[in-house]
Amino acid sequence: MKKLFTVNNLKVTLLSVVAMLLQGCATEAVVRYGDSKAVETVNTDFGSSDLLQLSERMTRSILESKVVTGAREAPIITLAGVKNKTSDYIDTNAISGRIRAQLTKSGNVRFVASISEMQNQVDELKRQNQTGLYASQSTSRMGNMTGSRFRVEGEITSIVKQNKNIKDVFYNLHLTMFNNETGEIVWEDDQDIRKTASR
Amino acid sequence: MLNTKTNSTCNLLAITAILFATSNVLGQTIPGTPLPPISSVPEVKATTDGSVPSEVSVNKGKVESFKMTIGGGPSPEEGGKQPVQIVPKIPNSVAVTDLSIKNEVKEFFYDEKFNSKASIQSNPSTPVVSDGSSNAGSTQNQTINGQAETSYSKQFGTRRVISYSEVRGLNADIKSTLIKAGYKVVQAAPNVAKENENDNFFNVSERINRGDFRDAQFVLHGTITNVEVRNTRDFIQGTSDYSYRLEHSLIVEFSLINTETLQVVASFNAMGSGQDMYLGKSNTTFVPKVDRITRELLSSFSQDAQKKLMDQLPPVNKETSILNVFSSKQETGVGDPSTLKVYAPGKSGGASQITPDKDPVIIYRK
Repeated sequence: MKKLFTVNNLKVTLLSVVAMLLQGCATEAVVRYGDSKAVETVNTDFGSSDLLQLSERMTRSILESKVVTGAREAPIITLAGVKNKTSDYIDTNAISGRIRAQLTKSGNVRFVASISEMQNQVDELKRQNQTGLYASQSTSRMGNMTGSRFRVEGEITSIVKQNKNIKDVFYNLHLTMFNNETGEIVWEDDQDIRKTASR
Repeated sequence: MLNTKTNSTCNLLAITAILFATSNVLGQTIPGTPLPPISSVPEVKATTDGSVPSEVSVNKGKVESFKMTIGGGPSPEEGGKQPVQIVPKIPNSVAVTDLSIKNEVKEFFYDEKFNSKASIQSNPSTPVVSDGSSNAGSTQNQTINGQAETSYSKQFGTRRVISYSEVRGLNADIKSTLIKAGYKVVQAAPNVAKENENDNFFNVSERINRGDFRDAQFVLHGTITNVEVRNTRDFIQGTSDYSYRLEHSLIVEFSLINTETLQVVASFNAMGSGQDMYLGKSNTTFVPKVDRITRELLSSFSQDAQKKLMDQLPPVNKETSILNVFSSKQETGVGDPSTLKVYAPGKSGGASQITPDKDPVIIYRK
């Protein structure tokens, strides 16, 4: 009888230890909302602060250009994309998309669908015009898309230097605006960011 | 007595005719060349019906001979030619022709011929019988003629086929524009190409003389200078689709010609195009909607032609308009604004006086 009690005690002890261990593993991380525009300095990789800085500077530069300020009507532009020539993985659509959003919000520039957005545009036109489902008066007719007068394209490059204690990264975003009809470069700008990490 | 009167009347007529002929009909008189004396004019005898004098010959001067017909129609010797009549033109009227076109087609031809003819003719001769000789018997000669003929020819190459015709159904909106502008539109007679027709098919002055445009004051003549049909298939970048397109385009040269003076008073080129489009994958079969293409083509062509015609169309001459003869009343609110004067009552409250200081009032037509 005494032996049985001892075994039961041992089982209870083991269960409580396991329960305590499980409770310790299930502890959730603490989540906080922060300032999305706060400076992020986790490492030297291309980060959110870099994206915000570069896109903001570029937008300001485009809005101050003669193409925009000297135009009677808001010029129609298309984005041809930004090439990533750095060693990091950077989603360049995030850069060009942010620039486009800020420019569109300003009301001084208009954008039309870029090449990467054409499939959806074509699919929509096909759906409206070729399925026979829509009243002809209400459909967006084919052959009436607006062509852009200007095209913005560019690239982001990086130069990385490091030794045992220091890592220096230089990011350069270069954008160019072309007149689609003449091929003339009507605007061009560079924006740089230098990040240094030391132990 | 009666005959004498008739003779003298005919003499006078003949003299008048000679003077008319020498001075007006056959051109001016040559300086220094005196007219033939009246006494040298041969006597003209009237025929029994009293209508046709005979030929008159004048040896001096330029006039050698002339014929004149009085009172009757054309003489049978003239081959029934009608005298040229000057018909008054209908003012502010335009004859609109269908659009003339020269169609030139180059086509490949291949022609291969093979002929073979053979004949055999046999002529059996009559047998010769010998009588009384030791070699008695009969001989028979037979002649056979054979003839064979073969020929082979092969021709190939390209040949140019030119045809002239008129295209109808493209001018309705232009006619309506002319009517709205106050002109009377006359339908021109169709221009049918003859056998072995040449570019004379486009000769408007010949058609005017032929009376194809009746009594119209102007003729709007259109010639199709270019017709193009384009069928394309293009890849759309950034997608997996192709755009299939059928496009018809047309360029027409128009000339507005005064039928009396042959002066070109307006000239322009009008163009139009219509297309049908389809978006699909590479293996799609595109069936174009031709009615949509035609509708678009007509619409764009008419708009262009109407705009250019209105830019150059001479204003309607209201004085000569038949309609204005009956309605000489001027429309209300129509007139030159610069001539408008404003009358205001005078300070004395009596007679009105013109106020030159104030700006003139301009009344615009609705």
